[in-house]
Amino acid sequence: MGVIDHRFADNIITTNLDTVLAWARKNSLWPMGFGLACCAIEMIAAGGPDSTSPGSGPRCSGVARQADLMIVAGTVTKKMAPVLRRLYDQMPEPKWVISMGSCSNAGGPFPTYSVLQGVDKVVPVDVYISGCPPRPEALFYGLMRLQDKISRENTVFRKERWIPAAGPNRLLSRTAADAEGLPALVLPGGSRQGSLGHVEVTRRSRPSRSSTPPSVGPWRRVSGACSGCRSSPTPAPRSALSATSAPRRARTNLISLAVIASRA
Amino acid sequence: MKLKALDYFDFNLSRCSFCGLCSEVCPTKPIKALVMSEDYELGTYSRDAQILRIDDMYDGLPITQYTR
Repeated sequence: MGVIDHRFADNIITTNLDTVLAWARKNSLWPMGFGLACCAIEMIAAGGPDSTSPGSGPRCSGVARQADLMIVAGTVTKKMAPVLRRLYDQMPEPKWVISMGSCSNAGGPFPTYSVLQGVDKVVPVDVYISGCPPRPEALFYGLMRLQDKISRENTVFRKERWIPAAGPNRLLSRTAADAEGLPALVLPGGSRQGSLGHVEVTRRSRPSRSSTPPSVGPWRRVSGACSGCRSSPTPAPRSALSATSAPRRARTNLISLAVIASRA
Repeated sequence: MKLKALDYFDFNLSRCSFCGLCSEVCPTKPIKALVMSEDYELGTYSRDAQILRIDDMYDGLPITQYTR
């Protein structure tokens, strides 16, 4: 933008198309409240006057064809899952999904035959909000994280999106911006990279659910490492929680709107 | 000296219902190892990030070794 900066009148702002479209999309979210259980009460409370002032928050749409964000709030039973998928397919592009609460995240306290263990088995979920149920503030936090995600999306070059829980072969018929390049969320309270400094534990890996559990690894006591916790041992690797090491894709600079306007 | 060390403790945020029973019956003395916090901004982009390990939950307080 440096070349064409300050070359037009003051009421012309140069930007790129990605920024404008993402700005418009993230600030005009029309959620479809998919209330299924007690999380719906909190979702309704989030739209009430205690949490939002009129005109500030998103307004829920009851129609799937007018919505671009689905907030799945509550226990998704296996009988409800195809209905949820059908309503998701009825939503126009671009569309996003927020999974609200433990039940829709992973099944919650119902590991039973009738409850879908995570709504990401049927729809691709953008933001998971934990809580049982989450407070309205937690829902707003998830909405803001979704806005951050939308603002980084590429509007032209889009990749196929697949449901991670269903395997890589389960391609969706839609295309959406991929979730690559997003930084990992920083949990509240800072990084919390603590360490158990007294005993150096040779950590065995987490027992994977698919294979047999690994053998019990030995742990050993480090002599002299216990003097007042100042030895600054190396923390355990946070492999699953660490920030994505994939290089962030450079956003394509599209033709700026001001150039188009100047040619017109 | 024999010593017991906690090998791993995973806490799945997306499975928890935040009832507080675990912190209520936590047997460690004089300080409970499990306490409920007041954090609510727990949204993540992936389901794997909702599983907290020991180091994610450790609050940084110095650990005192008790022999009994």
